[in-house]
Amino acid sequence: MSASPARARGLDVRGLLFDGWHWIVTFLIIASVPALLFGQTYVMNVFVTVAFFSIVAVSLDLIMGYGGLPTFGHTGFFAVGAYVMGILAARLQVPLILGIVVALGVSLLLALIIGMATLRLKEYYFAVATLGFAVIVVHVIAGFPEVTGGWSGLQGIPRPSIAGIPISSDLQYYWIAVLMLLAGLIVGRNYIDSRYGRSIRAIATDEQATSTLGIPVARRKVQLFMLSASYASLAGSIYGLYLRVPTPANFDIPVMIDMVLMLFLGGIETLWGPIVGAVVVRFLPEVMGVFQDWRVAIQGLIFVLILMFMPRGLAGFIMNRLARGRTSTHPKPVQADATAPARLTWVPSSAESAAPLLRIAGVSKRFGGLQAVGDVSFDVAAGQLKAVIGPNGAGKTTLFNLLSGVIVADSGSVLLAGRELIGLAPDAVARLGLVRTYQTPRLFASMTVVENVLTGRDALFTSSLLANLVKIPASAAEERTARDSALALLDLVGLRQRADVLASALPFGERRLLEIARALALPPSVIMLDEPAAGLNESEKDRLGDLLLCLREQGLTLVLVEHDMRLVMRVADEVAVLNYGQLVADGSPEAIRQHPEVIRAYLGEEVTVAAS
Amino acid sequence: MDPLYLQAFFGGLTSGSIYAMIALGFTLVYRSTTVINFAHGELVMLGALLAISGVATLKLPLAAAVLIAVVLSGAIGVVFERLMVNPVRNQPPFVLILVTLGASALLRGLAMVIWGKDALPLPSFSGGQPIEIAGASLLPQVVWIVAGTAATVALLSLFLNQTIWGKALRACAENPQAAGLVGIDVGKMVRLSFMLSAAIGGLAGVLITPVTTMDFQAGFLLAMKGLTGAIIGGLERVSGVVAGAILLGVIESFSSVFISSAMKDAVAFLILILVLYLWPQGIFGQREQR
Repeated sequence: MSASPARARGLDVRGLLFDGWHWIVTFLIIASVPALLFGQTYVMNVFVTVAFFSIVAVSLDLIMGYGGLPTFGHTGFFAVGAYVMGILAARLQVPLILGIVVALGVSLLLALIIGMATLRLKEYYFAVATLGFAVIVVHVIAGFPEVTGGWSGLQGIPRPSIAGIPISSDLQYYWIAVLMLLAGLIVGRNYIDSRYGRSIRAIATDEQATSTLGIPVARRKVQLFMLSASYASLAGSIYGLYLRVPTPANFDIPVMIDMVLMLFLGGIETLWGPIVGAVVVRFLPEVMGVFQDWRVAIQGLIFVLILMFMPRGLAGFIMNRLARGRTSTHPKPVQADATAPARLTWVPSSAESAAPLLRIAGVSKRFGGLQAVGDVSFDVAAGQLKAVIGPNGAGKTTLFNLLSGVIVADSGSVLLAGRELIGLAPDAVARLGLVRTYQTPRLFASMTVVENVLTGRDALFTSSLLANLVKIPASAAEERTARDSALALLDLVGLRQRADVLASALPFGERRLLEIARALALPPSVIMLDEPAAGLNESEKDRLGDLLLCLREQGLTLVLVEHDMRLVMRVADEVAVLNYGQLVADGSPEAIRQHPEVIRAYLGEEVTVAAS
Repeated sequence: MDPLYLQAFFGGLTSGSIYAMIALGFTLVYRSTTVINFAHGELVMLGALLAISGVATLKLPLAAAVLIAVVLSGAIGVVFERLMVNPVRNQPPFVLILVTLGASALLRGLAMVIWGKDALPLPSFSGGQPIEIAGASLLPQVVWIVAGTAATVALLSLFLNQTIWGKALRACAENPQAAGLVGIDVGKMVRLSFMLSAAIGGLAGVLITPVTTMDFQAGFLLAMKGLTGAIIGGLERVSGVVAGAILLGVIESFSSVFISSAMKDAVAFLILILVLYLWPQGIFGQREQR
């Protein structure tokens, strides 16, 4: 059993099944089995619904599995697809294809509105709003019987035909649904592999870190919601044609729960898992016989048990079986590139211009009774390496949060090359050229090293979402170029050999370096490093110092919060000292070393005991 | 004044009061656990169906049946917390949302097996003869509903603000870790909040059933409305949540009288989207980081 013939011959079963175009052939072969065996029987209609529901379940995987956004509104879009198309065709004699397009437009608009209202809030609000949407769609359909036919269903949708051939049999609908599902899988895969999919996985891991890389988080979420809703709408339109007389019950809450169950039973973050889930969920009632009444309860129980005990679903189980015995995932071999590490150029190397590149003027922030940062002002000249030091709690990290837009300053101004940063969202600040790292590296652990850097480079991409969904050559070329420069950056920090390793597998010191490489990818004009030496050993600190000097050499401007004085004195051009949120000194390292306020902040005040 | 306005107001007050009690259940649980319990509506439904069984099957006096249903609801809340929420307490909100949603399907399914699919009635607490007020008619049950809600809100506020248990509960809501450090049994407080939440929900179900009847899937929509009211009210403070829920009920009632009764449910949802868009903290919420 353990030595299956395929593996013995060194064949990678998973590779054969899931890589390249092979999976498309595999998919079509598997899909043709029910058509061949049951083509003319009653069972076929169950397979038709499996195919339609799979399309929606796959779209749920995109948004819930990869995106981590709990949505319960897809039966709503499914219904909009069916009813808008159906009403236009049945009542206004609009051609079916036009009806489908209008329905898609309506769904996209609704997704845009719901998404914009709720996706910037906690996930609960999105869950409630989408669930509310699904409930309301059913009630509106039921409440306007003169338009929708009410609970008894929408009559009079014309029979569709393709090239003069009327479409009516289960088998015909099965193949249409299967081809739609295939298209959905291809588009979904393209999405996940694209920069959009990468950024959405990053957002699902760490929203704040993603936004400080210049990625518009809310916008990406809304785009994903709209993409996912369009699957449901298109599937709903064709499903409506298949039903011929769609009723609100076809799109009610139990159907939505079925769909979500398909996703989690099948397995999230696989795209194909939900199809397995759909087969099981749709055939469950067929095999339950006399226990039909128990179906809802049993499905609910399965749902809860899966979430608690089998979070990767059936797909995870199958993958584990296939992976058993294999040593580890093979990272793609790293090509030894002959090109020397590219000399990176940082945007405005305007050392000659009179104004400083970064000007911080009177920035303050108060948390309740605590003045975390009080009226701090200093300048950073272009090409300079400025260190910010101070005891714990001096307000250094708060200052970084204020500069990067993570928290909004109460007052003051931050000018980057003359542009005001205060009041801008973190992603806008990053796109203007100010990026940061975190005290504890905030990497995207489930992504590879090079994917982390590519995520940092996202703002440089120009290809649109649509171009990426169909993977036009230009978007693929852009991806290749980006990968090359990401590898060059990894070269610079010495992580080239690790490019295809998961970020979670890196030792701590290398995580620091990766986070710096990721922040450099934009590329920024100013990089702010929050205690980059913390947790590093002496040789790693030396390497870090070399890297910082090398970056400054190449014209980058750096702001460094650091406790390690040896490193600060080695690399800094100027040092600013904070204590209790106030700037107590600002000057050359030598001057700072002698500064009485600094000595007092670090060593405490000389105590004079008054003789009484 | 046109009696129609008064009639619409009575209708809004009725559903708004019920939404308020349900909304309080969401708030109690949310504050102590930051969990939104998507199965809360099923606890409301169970409370009502238990009372119906008490009256119809066990031939208990109405008052006894109601009391038993409310107590059982509280007990179900505790069991629910133990079985469904506690095992996934430390998982991300995403998982909690899904588990409670799965649990709601499980409870609906069980209720369908036990009570069937038909809507079941419960007798009014004191006669069914409507009272005439300025041309509008008012069911005596509505008085019970409004009085029950008012009493619940008053007792709950008293409990949260005046008793040591209530203060401990609020401490857990504020900062569970710190509450644990000063010797509060956080697990016990979480169970207490689920118990109160389910008992109040059960009472809401019992109070509304003489007006609307109850079936296995009616709880879900009621809970959605209650949650919408809670969100409008900012989700955290008792007074805000009650105001939000009653406001929702009144707007809903007026829209169903003056626009179309079919639009009633759509209106609630539109308000939800509008409020989240304009006031993400809720109309009556505190200005805090969400």
